[in-house]
Amino acid sequence: MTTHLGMMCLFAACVAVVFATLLRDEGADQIRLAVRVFGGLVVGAFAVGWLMYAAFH
Amino acid sequence: MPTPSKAAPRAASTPGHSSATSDGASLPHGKRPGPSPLVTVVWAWLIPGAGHLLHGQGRKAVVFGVVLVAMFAIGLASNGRLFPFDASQPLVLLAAGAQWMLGLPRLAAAVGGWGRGEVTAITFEYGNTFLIAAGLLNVLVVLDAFDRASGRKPARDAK
Repeated sequence: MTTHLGMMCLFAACVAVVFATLLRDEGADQIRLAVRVFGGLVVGAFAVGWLMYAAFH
Repeated sequence: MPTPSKAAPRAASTPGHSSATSDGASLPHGKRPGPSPLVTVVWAWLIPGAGHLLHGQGRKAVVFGVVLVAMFAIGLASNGRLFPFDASQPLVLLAAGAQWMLGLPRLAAAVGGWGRGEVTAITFEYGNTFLIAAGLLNVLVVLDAFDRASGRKPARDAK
């Protein structure tokens, strides 16, 4: 897996799982937080990417 | 004349509220039987998740152990570099410190001669990011294990 998107999603998934496990004790809460963190990281990366594209092109 | 409050002694006698820190603040979950905070921190640093395992949180321990070691392995497989402690390059020094926060996996990689890093590889920076982030996430895991060992957080898995 050498695509930007694939590596980014893999990284976001790992970070999301660790944060969700750290910050929540109940299984359902952990899943909810993991999904939110994962989504935030991926959407944030896209947003920052487009912002940089708009600023420098 | 104000009368002394009886709230503090009552709270101290409540189960789960029995311990207090040296500065007088009560610990919400009390001291737990098991390894001391220092021993917990050392184990948690050496093996990701071991600190939680020592305090009865097997499920969390497995998640931390698997995910953090996997991140480290992905970093190595992506041609990431294991940075040396080089004081002349502050960023390299910081990266080395972050990577060493993973304890035994970092030591094993150093002994095994892995992580030389291939700058021309397309995944070089990805690998470095995984290696550094794994160590930094383990810092958070170690701090959480310390909190549980010292009674600031519950030490058992939620049912």
